[in-house]
Amino acid sequence: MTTIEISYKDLCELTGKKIPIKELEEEAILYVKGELQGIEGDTLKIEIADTNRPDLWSSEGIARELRAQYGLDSGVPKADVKKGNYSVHVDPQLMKIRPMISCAVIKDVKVTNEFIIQIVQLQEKVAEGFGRKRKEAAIGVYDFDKITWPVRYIAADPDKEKFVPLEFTEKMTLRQILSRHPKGRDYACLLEPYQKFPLLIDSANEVLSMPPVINSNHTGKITEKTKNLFVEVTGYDWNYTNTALLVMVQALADRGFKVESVINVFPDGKKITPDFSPKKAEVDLYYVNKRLGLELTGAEVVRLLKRARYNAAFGDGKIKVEYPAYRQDILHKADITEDIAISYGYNKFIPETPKLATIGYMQHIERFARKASEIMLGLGGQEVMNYTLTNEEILVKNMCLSKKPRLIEIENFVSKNWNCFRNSLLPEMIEFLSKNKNKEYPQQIFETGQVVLYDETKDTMTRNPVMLGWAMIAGKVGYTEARQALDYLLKNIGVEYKIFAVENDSFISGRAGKVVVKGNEIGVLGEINPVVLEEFGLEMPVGIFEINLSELMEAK
Amino acid sequence: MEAGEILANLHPLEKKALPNLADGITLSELAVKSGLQEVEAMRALQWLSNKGVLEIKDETTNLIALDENGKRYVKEGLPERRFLSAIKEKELPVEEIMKKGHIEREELNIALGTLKGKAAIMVMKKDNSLIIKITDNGKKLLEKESLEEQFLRNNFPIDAIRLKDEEKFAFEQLIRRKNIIKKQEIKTKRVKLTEVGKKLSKTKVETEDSIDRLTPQMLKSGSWKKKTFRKYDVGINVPALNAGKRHPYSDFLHQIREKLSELGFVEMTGPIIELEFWNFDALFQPQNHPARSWSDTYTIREPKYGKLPEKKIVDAVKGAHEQGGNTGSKGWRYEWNPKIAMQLMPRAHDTAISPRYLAREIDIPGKYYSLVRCYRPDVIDATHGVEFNQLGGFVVGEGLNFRHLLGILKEFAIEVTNVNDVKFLPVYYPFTEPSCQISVKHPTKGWMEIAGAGVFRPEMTEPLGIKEPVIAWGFGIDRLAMTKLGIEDIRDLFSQDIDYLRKSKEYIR
Repeated sequence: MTTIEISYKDLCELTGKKIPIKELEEEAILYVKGELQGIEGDTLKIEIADTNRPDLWSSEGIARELRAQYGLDSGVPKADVKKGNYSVHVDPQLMKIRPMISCAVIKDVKVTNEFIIQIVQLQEKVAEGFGRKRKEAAIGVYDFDKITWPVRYIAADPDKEKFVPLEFTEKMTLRQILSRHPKGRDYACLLEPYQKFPLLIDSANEVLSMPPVINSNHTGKITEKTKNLFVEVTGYDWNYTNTALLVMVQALADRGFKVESVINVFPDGKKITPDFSPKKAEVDLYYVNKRLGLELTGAEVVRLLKRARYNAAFGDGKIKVEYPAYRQDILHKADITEDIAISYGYNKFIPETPKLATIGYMQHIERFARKASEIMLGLGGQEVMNYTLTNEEILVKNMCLSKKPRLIEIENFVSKNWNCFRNSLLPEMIEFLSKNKNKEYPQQIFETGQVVLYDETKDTMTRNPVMLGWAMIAGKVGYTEARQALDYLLKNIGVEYKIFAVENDSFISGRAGKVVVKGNEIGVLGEINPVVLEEFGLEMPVGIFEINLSELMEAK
Repeated sequence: MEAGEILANLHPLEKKALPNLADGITLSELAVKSGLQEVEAMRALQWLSNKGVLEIKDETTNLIALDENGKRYVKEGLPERRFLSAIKEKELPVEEIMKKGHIEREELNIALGTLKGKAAIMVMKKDNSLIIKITDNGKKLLEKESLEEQFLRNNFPIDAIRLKDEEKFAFEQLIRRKNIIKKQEIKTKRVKLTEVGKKLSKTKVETEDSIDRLTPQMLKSGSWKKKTFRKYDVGINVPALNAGKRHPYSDFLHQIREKLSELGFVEMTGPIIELEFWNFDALFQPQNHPARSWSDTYTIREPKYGKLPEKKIVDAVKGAHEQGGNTGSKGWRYEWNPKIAMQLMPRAHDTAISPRYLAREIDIPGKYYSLVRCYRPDVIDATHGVEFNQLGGFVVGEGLNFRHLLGILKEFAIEVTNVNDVKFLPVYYPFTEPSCQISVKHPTKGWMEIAGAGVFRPEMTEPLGIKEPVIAWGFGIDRLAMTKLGIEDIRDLFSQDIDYLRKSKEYIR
């Protein structure tokens, strides 16, 4: 999801039509996979669902689609590029640092406040979302008239080169910028691994920017006085830098500004950008109709595609299409088919429930756990439901375990309260009791749920058996009561089992047992040790058991 | 109620209470007189009050009672008396007086102070110790009782309102001293009989002829035949029961499972700790996709890596990512790294399970679902829980198309949410194309997005060996549960409040 804020007036002007808000909200916005989230004065807050279509993340982009859907325009959008005589020379040393750059020059720009807001928003959204937080695509926009051509894209010494970064007044070395400028700090991780840093510098040795971090204050500032622009995108992969550039430049061209090309001189050859030559593809009419469940004619598909900003022609059962160069999201004819469906209108399709004769059933363990739960309900148990995430303090310290078991812990946890997976249901169940100290007693609770155990025989190095836990707390509760409940469960399920004494840190010595079925230990029961009760702040005895239902089901 | 009717249907507690009632009697007095426990007497009074026999008035009384030291002084005498008695015969050093009179150090000062004030003793210094001698005045004092001593002979506790003037003086003196007497605020329940009540309290209550509890003995002997059954006040509240009960959210989820079984879906399940391969790569999500970042998914400390599936599948997935494989797609055009795919992570979405099933034998045509916990590093608030449940799955079959996808979504909307008014919205999911979302019109909350679906991309299904279209779908099950269970804060789905769980209403779909 990408959320943008645009001006309603600006959108209507760019579309060339006043779109009533209701119509925009209920119909028009669906063509751009959008949702109107809020209106404040003239500002519309719009969420665009497609994270792979940066061309839609601006009022220009939305208007571009709407113009065609409203029939005010058709086919691949126009963007005339005049051949420019500007070049950017790429330092071979950058090949292992940040090798790609794609540039364009924009002339006769009318800078308004709304335009600056839109261009900065688009630049940020494209670099953050599509550009993977500037790693794959970082965009710079400069005042063209302050640049002395040609421009050089070089690998610079971070401790020698200095310039004044945007919104600052003093010169700093490149390394200082990484620690002292707010943007420097945000994106330092992208440059820190390298000995030299990328730098864009002109023929008068004036720094334009340190990609992908920050522009210089001198050339990198756009004001209402700016007449012409220089735009560049740096990254690692031509597909990213070029797409980002085309998205930016198409938006500028949509406002009627003039585009001129730039020669990017790489160590292994030249690339002239921006290149708006449409991309080509072919799709069978049969495939489209089969996928959509429709019976469209070739002409209808062509009309729908033109409204979706494709050029299209039908012949021989095939539709030959051309689509805008910035549409890097089109990988397969499935993508073109979706655009046809959106252009057709999802709500015009007649839904049809597939008639498939299938037999439904739950996982056996779900049914088994459900049965076991019914037995516990018969005993008067209140079912509880805890998180599978908990923390080490509850699992180990509160349970007074002298040896920490192998737990699966979260590395980038959000809260210390939930930083590892439970390996047993019991600790959280005792915690549950501790949260209900002032409620009516007796309390008898049970839970069925998965735990996470280390298991190197599995492809995921873990397994998740379903466990059943039972805990009771009251003035007179102990081993006997826990054993009665366990007997009731296992006798009703109908398995042969034996109980053997076991020593367990969490239980009173001599009052804990392990449950053995067919030679396998599948559970534990007993009377909770008062040291554990103290840890949890409980003031009444607790009887408890836990059974591995997955293993019990196997044994049955 | 008429007196006769009341009389005929008295509870045994009421029967015991009634003859002992008098206008103005307190609850505790009634308990003593009737031999009932206070709680029993109270219940009797409440019932009788409901029947219009009496009113219960709450009164607050200030009582004066003996405190710890006071109780001792009643037996042993006040410290000043014991002090004076000790030197009645001859003058003594302080230490000896204390020993002889059992006077503790903290009592010494008050005894000396009081006695000096009344000119009862003379203090002399001799060889670094104090010698005390009784005066004539002191001797007189020994012979009569002080006001304080008189006061302490009261039968405590006594009502502060009823103190006489000289008693008030003694009270003021004693309350200042440590732990002799204390004031207590006592709440009393006092009975005020109504006219009916006054009449009834004088009536003889038959205790023999009506049966309260039917006992096995009565049945055996047949004695019940000669008696009548006391009529109960059936409208009266009885103590609440706590019994076996499902957790409302667990029950809701189970009912969803039942519904899906009815609709012909087979339940799938998968591991909580998952390989990135199944969570992302097999879904054709490129390895640099933002959703795969540290901020969008959890990672685990150790173990770091799991085991990839058979080479055939891994190679096919790699091919689809790098250049589209044999699917007719361009692919993502980058070098796919198996080491990234081997990383372990807590499952971030239920869709991680689908490719595991598609890669092994499934029934075609077939309908599948999973309902599992998923994990993402969201900051926990009213709309983001610690973990969440996701419901999703797929329908696979030759000839399935986009209209079927809409049909499945609509069926869910009707079957699961019972809403007929729906609309479809284009949406984006990384692994489906085309993709669609369904919103339903909630009677009060307006349009709500409830589910999404899409046709799995061929780059996803073909490497797993599936040629037929696969319609994937997913439900915002937590939000749906909140609406159905009337919950505003998502954290309450996993409520740990036993009162809430005991009192929650059953959800019947």
